[in-house]
Amino acid sequence: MHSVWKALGRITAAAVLAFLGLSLFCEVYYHLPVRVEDPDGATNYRWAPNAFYSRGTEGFAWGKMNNEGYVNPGDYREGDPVDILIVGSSHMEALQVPMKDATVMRLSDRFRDAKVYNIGMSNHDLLSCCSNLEAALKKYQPSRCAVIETINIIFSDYEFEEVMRGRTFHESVPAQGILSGFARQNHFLRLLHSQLESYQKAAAGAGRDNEDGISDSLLDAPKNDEEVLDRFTQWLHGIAERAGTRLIIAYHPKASINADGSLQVWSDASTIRQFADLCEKNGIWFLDMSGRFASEYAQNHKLPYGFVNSAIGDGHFNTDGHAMFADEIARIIEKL
Amino acid sequence: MSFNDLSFYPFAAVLLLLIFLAEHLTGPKTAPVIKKLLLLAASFYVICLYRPEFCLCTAGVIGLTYAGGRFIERCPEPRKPLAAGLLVTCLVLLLGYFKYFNFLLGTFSAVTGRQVTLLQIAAPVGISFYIFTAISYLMDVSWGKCPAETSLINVALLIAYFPKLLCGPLVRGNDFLPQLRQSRRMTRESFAVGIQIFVFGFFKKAVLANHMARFLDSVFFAPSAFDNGTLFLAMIANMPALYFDFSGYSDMAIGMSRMIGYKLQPNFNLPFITSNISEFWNRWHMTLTAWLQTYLFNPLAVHFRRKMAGMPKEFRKKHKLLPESAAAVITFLISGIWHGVGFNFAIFGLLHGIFYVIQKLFAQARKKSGAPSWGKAGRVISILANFLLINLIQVFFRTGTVREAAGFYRALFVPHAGVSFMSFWCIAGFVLLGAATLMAILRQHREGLPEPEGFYPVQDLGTVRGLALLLMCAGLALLLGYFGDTFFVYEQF
Repeated sequence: MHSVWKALGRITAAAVLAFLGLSLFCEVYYHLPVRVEDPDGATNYRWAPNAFYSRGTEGFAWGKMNNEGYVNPGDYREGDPVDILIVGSSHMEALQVPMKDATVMRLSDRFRDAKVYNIGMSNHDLLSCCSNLEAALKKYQPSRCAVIETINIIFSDYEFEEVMRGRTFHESVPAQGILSGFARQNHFLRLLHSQLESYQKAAAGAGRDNEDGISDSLLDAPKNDEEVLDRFTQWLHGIAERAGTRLIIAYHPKASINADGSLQVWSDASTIRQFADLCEKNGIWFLDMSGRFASEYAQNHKLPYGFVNSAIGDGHFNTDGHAMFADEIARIIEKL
Repeated sequence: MSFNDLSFYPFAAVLLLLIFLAEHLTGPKTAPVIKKLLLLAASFYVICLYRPEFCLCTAGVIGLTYAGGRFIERCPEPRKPLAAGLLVTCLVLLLGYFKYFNFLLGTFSAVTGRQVTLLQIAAPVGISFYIFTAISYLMDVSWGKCPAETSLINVALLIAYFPKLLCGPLVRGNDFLPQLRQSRRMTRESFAVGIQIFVFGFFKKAVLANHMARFLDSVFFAPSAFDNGTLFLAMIANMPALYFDFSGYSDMAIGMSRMIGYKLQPNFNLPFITSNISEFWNRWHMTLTAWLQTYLFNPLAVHFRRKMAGMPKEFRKKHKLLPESAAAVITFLISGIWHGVGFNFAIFGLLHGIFYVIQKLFAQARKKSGAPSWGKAGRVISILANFLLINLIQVFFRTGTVREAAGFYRALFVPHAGVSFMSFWCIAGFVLLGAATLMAILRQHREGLPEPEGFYPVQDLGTVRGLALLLMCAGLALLLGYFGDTFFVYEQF
C-alpha cells in the first residue's frame, strides 16, 4: 500500500512539474490575454488592457495591448481626436506580425498628421463590425474615415436584415467561474483547447474556417440579394453620415496557388461588382484587394497570407499582406 | 483509425486496461488466450472501421496462411518449394488484383486505345504489409526455418496485429510467432519503455512530419510558383519529412507493442548518415529491406550466379558483379512497385537499383586501382552526395505521376523567380536530425560502437524527473503539432 501511495505521489509531482513547465513555455509561445467586455460596444469584446501577448503558432510576434485592450502603437484617452478608425477582424488585430509591420502602424507612418486607431478584433466579421459600427463611431468620432476590413462579403438576406434590426452576431465573453477563469488565464490549457478544436474541425471534414468565419462553402454561395444589400449599404451610409465621417469597406479575398503556378483569388467578380456598385451608389468607398494581390504575385511573387511556421498562402495577413493592404487603404484615404 | 486519430487513444487505453485485467485476474493458462483474443478482436475492429468488407480479405489471407503453412510442412521435402510457390503465387495475385489491376487495365487502355471499364476495387487496409508477412511465413516454413504454426490465433495475430497493420514494421513469422507462443505479459518495465517510444514517435509525426508535409504539399502541388531556393529546400526536406512520418509511425507501433508486451523489429537506424544506396537501405525501412534481401535478392543472386557458372571463365571474371547487380536492379524495381501504383514508383525503384550498381562498380574500380581511403572528409562529402541523390530520386516517390516529377525537376533546375518560402519546420527538422546524429556519434565514441546507432532517449519512469520529461514531451507534441488534415504517407500503400 505504501508503494502505491509513493507511486501516486511521484505521478502527481511529475504532472505538476510538467504542467508548470508547459505553462511556462506557453507564456512565450502562445500568450493571449483574456477577453473582457467592451463597455462602449465598439467591439463585441476586447483584450485585457495593457496585457502582454505573444504568438508563435502563426508567425512570431509579441507586444502589449494598449490601455483599452486593442493592438495600437499608443493608448487612447477619452476624448482623444481620432482621424482614421480601423474596424475589422483578426487580420487588423495583427497579432501575427510585429507592430511596425501592422496596417495600423503603416497608416500612422503614412499619415503622420493624423491619429490612426485600430479596434480590429478576432472573430469580428463584416456583420459584427457593422452591428457595432454606430457605437464605435459614436465613441471614437473619426474625422476622416472609418475603414471596415473584411474577408467575406457574402451573407444571407436574413443576416443582413438582422443586423439592420439591431441584432448582434457575436460570441459573448466566456463565463467567469473559478475553473473557467483559471483555464482562460493558463496559456497551456488555452493552446491545448485550440489544438483540440482544430483537430475536431479537421476530423469532421469541415471546410477550413479561419477566425473570421469564412469557409470554402460560403464562397460557392450565390451573390447577395441586390435589394437587401442596397438597403444594407444605405443603412451603413446613414450611420457614417450621422457620425460625420466617411466609410470605406476594404475587402480582401482568400488567395491560393493553382497547380500551374497562377494565383487563384477566391472571389466571384460579379459578387464583388454588385457589392462595389451598391457601395458607390450609397456613398461608401469600396476597396477590393483582388487586383493588388494578383499583381503583387505576378510581379513580385508575394503572397498576402501565410507564415514560415504555418501554411503557404493561408491564414492571416503576413508582413507583405499588411503592406499591400495599408498601401491600398492609404490611396483611397488620400482621395477622400 | 490510426495513431494519428485521437479516437485511437481511448480505444488503446481501454484495450490495455482489459489486457492488464485479463493478465492479473485470470489463470496463467487462460490469460494468454484471452489476451490474444482481445488483440485479435481489436485488430479486426480497427480493420472494420475502414470498411467491414476488408475483414474478409484479411480473414482469407489468415486462413490461407494457416492452412498453407500446415500443408507445406506435411508435404514431402522435394515438393515443399512447389507448394510454397503455389501459395505465394496466390498471395501475389491477390495483392496484384487489389493494388494493380485497375492500373494495368488503365495502362492497357491507354496503350491499345481500347475503352475499358475500371473495376470498383478498394485495396484492403494494410494489404501490402500483411501479404508480405504471409509470404515470408510460408517461405520460412518451406525452407525449414520456422515450424508451421498450430495455433490459428497466433497466425491470425501474425497477419492482422493492429499496431503494425497499417504501415509496418513488416513482421516475420520466425520473429513474432515465438513471442506469441511464449505468452508474454505486460510488465511495468516494458510498459515504461513502450510508452516513451510511442510518445517519441508521436512527436516526430505530429510536430515535424505534419508541419513539413504542409509545406511540401504546397510546393510539390505547384512547383513552378516557387523560386529555386524554395524548391531546393523542398527537395532536400522531402526525405527527412518522410522519415519523420514513417519512422514516427514505426516508433508508435513499436511502442504500442512494447506496452502490450511484444517486441517489433526496429525499422530505421539513422538513415541519413549513409554514404551509398546500399548502406542507406540497410538503415531505412529495415524490415522491408531484410524481407527483400531474404526472399528476393538472395534467391535471385543465387539463380544468376548459377546461370553465370555456365559462362566462360574470362566472362565471369570480367563481369563478377553481374549476378548481384541484376538481382539488385530487379529487387529495387519490385520494391518500387510494391510501394505504390504508377510508373513513377517503378522509376523510383529502378533508379535506386541503377545507382546501387553504379556505386558498386565505382567502389570495385577504386579497390582495383588501389586508391587510398578518402578519410573523414571524404566520408562526409559522400554522405552529403548520397543524401542529395536519394532526395533527387525521391521526387518520383512524392509526385503522383512521372509528368509531375518531370515538372518538378524542370522547375528545380531552370533558374526562375517565384515565391520564396523558408519553412521554419523544415529547418527545425534538419536541426533535430543533426542533433540526433551528433548524439549517436557521441554515444558511438563513448560506448566504443563500430557504427553510430540510433537510440530512443528512454528515461527511468520510476523517478519524478523521468515521468515529468515524458509528460512534457507528450504535452509539447500536442501543443506544437499540426492536427489538420493529415495522414501517414505509408497508409496509402
